[in-house]
Amino acid sequence: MAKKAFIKVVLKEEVLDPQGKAVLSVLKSSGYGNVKDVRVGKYIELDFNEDKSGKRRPLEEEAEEISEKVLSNPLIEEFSIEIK
Amino acid sequence: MDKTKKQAEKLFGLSVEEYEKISELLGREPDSFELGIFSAMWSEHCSYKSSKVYLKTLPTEGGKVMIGPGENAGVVDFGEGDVLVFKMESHNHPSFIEPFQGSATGVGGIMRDIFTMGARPVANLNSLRFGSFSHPRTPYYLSEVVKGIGFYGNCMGVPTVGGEVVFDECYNDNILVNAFTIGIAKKDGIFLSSKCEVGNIVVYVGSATGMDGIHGATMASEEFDLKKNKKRSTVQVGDPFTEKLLLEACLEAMEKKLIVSIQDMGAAGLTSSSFEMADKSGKGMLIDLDAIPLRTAGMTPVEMMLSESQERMLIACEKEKFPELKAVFDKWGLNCVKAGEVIKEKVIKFYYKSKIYKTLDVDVIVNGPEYKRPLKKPQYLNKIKPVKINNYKIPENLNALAVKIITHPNIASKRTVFTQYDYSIGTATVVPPGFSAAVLRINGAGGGRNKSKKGDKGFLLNAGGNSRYTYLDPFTGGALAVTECARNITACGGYPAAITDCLNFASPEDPEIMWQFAYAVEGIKSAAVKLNTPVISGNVSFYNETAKKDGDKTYVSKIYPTPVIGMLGFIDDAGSAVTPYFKDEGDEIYLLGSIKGGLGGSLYMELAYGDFRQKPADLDLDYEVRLQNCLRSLINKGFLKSAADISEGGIFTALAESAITNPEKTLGFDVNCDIKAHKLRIDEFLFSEFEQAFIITTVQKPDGRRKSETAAILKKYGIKSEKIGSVEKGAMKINGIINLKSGKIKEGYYSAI
Amino acid sequence: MDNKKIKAGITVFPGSNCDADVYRVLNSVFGVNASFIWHKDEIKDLKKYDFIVIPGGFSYGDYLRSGALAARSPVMESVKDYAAKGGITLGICNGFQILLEAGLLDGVMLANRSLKFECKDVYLKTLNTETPFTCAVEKGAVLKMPIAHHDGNYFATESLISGLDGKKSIIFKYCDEKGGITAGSNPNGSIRNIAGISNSAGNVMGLMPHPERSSEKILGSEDGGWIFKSIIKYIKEK
Repeated sequence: MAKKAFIKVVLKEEVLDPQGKAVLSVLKSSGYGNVKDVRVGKYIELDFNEDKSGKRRPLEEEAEEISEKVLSNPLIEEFSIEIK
Repeated sequence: MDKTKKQAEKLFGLSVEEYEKISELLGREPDSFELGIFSAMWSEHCSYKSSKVYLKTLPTEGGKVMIGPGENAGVVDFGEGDVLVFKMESHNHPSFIEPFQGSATGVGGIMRDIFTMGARPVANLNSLRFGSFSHPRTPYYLSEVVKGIGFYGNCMGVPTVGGEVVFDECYNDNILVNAFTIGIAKKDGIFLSSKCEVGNIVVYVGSATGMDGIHGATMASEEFDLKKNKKRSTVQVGDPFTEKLLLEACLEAMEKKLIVSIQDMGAAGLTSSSFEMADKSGKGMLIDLDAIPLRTAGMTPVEMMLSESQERMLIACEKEKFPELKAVFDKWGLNCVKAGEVIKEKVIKFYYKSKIYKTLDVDVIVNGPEYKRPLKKPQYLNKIKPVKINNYKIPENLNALAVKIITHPNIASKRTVFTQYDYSIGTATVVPPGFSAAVLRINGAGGGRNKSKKGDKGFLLNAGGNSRYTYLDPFTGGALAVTECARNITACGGYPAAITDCLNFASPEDPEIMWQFAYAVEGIKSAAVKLNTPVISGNVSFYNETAKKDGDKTYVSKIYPTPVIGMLGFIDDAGSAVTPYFKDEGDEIYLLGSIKGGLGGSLYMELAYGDFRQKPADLDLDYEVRLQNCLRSLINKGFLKSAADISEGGIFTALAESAITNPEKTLGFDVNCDIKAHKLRIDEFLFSEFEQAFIITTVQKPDGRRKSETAAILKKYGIKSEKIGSVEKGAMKINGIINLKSGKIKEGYYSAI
Repeated sequence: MDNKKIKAGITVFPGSNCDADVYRVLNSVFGVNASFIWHKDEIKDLKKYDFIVIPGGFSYGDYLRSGALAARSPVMESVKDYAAKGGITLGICNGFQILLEAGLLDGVMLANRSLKFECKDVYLKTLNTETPFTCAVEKGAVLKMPIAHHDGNYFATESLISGLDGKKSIIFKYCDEKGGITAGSNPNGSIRNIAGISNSAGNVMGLMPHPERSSEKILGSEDGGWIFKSIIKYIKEK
């Protein structure tokens, strides 16, 4: 059965997020005072081929590798994966 | 060696001797806070401990220089109450670890150095070195570094008007990113870090402090080891939007005279800014660590001191003016907090959790070690001999080789790179990147200001260097970096005025590297003295080397010695600047100067015979000065339609580029040179590099008066000029041997990268 | 009427960076009385200005989407009001993006086809010379101006495009030197080579290239000057 991986990449908590900061300042000046902090990240969907051979390594593992090596920069970003 | 010392070495990059010296100065073992401070301030990056003895020998005064090295940047008088402020700095190691953020923060850092001085940045340049073009990682580095530079510079609204991009396998494991910024200020509007007065309050402005780049300053001075992951937490993230606000806020506060003294927080952040300001002002400071705005809760004092979070400044301000200063930074939405006070005693007292936490003596911290490290002539140099041309058979197809040269990544157009930079913002760029030197005009917001009698007063910028030549002959390579920049400026009709240098080398602890350094600096010095272009700022980047593993073997991958020069020139009328490309069919082509035909170090030797490791031709600096003065005289008379220097790729490349880089049309040339009279073989004539000569063009059949005036100028300077051909329509012809179609060459030249 | 009597307002957002260029060109090259409008200034009524320019730059760092954050800042409410009353409003580059995000113009700006920032000279074909921004331009003229943007790939649905077309609201298209509207002359992938559009009333225009950088001979082109000359002419004749 074909499957999809839904990946979110966000900046690590200790890393400065200029985008989030700028969005927060505009939200505040637009009257949305309840918002305390904003972090902006990326959302990526991977659509996988069907595993016809049944010998492929687990999707989780492949998605993890892709996320680590390509989609994120482990120096500054972290990611989470959801597979459906 | 006991455990602490070992740790000091490992964690903080201090040598055992330095650790002992610190213990002696303190009269006890240092604690971790002190170790952190010492490691930053005594790092090669901040202390110039290995290079100082040589840098002192460089000419730093004279000409139009107002302020030489020592401040955040050097200052040159531009007349009519204006000054230009410029500097170049390396950001090599951070760019290798994270090329986008590394290059971006490099650009951000150098711009802060400029506006700290009270100058509005008006142009950026950069010198970039990547590994071999075919190396699998090169496309990644190239694309990320260029994006990072564009991201920061474009957002700041500062045009990036030039620079160089060079590929060589010696940079496979250590790329170089050298960034240059120039700014303009009023003569009486210059701000320094040395003006703190007792009783001033110390103000922290800009972004909050986070964990960015902790130990960045020490990292920049350490070789990468095999487990570079260890250092991976040190990436700094740049926010050009905040820096743009910081720029406007600082300039506004300066205009309103709310600042007494100011220094940006660059390498080693709060540590270097506080100690250097205190030291240069001959004062001390109280620093309240509780007041520092933090982005990451729970940072320790040493982390606060060493953080290299970007877009921050330290300001000394008169007590009663603080509310007004704060109002300015509030307007721009930036932090502005009281973080201490200037005191008489030359110490820095740190408060933490409302108590005195540490007191450190400024002199002890600032007067780091100074080394005269051992030198040894590198062994490989014994094998570097002049080219014996008769040992090499002329390749059968010189046309094919010529195509290979003009489309080589180091020669071909870098248009795909510089079009990613906004080079036209500021409405000042008269000659954009891609030609000899960038030409900018001054345009004050007042309008009409700085119009000389002749037109818009302008300045020229150029940056470059040749590491292969420096590797083959460190002295000549160093000198060549200076003369080459000057040639590019003179070829536009400008006067070289002053330089900044960025000296990129491998480990200074290797006597052979130190030898390269010493001779390269000597070369720079000799050329700078002759050309009267003092060195007003700069930086040294050592340890551009990486431990590598190849099977069982480990080795160290080192860059070639890479001194890079950034040069400023002046021109009375920016609109009259001469460009290097041919203008019209029928124009006459001359060779101005002398040619030697030395092929050592040339791209031709590499491509034709697989070896460039031969001695480059010597440089006659006295002749160089006469040659450049002669060319400038001819240009100022209005006699020349184009002028191009002869650099990488030789005369063929100079001619070919002149024919195809005209933005309006594609031209060619028909050149016939009596090479026997020059005692040269055809390949020596075509491809020898950095000849002390220029390719110039004039109108067809200049009249008698012009001829005699030209002859008089040539005679005055003792320079020869030889007619070698004319500008033609669409073909490139040389001595019946080279015969190429301009259109095809153009296509290859613009699409190679 | 003396040009000095014409009042221009230039909006300044945090991160605007072509504001000083527009200011200098309007004041020194065209002799207009131009001044800045700070984004937080509580100017409820902009009617003292004869025209408004929203200059280029990276307002709010262009974070989130180009122009998105500036479009939601207070001064834009005043600009909307000004435009609704027929005030002449020109958005250049980031200013164009802000006008789109603010809903004053139709369509969106996507990232350039190359996914890169592009700085170079382009040629523009003037399709409508009966607007306040082009009334001094010769019919069908080809103008040379520089672009400098990352997100200049204009996009709108077919129905929007035909709407724009019908109202002659497509003012400029990228073209080659001779005026040919070709794929090769499209620098960013814009749909139908669109470089500049107006609203249906014709008093608001967004333009990706920079006329302020091409209003003086020394900079390689004076063609951008025609935009400003047009505005001045229109105001004088009004």
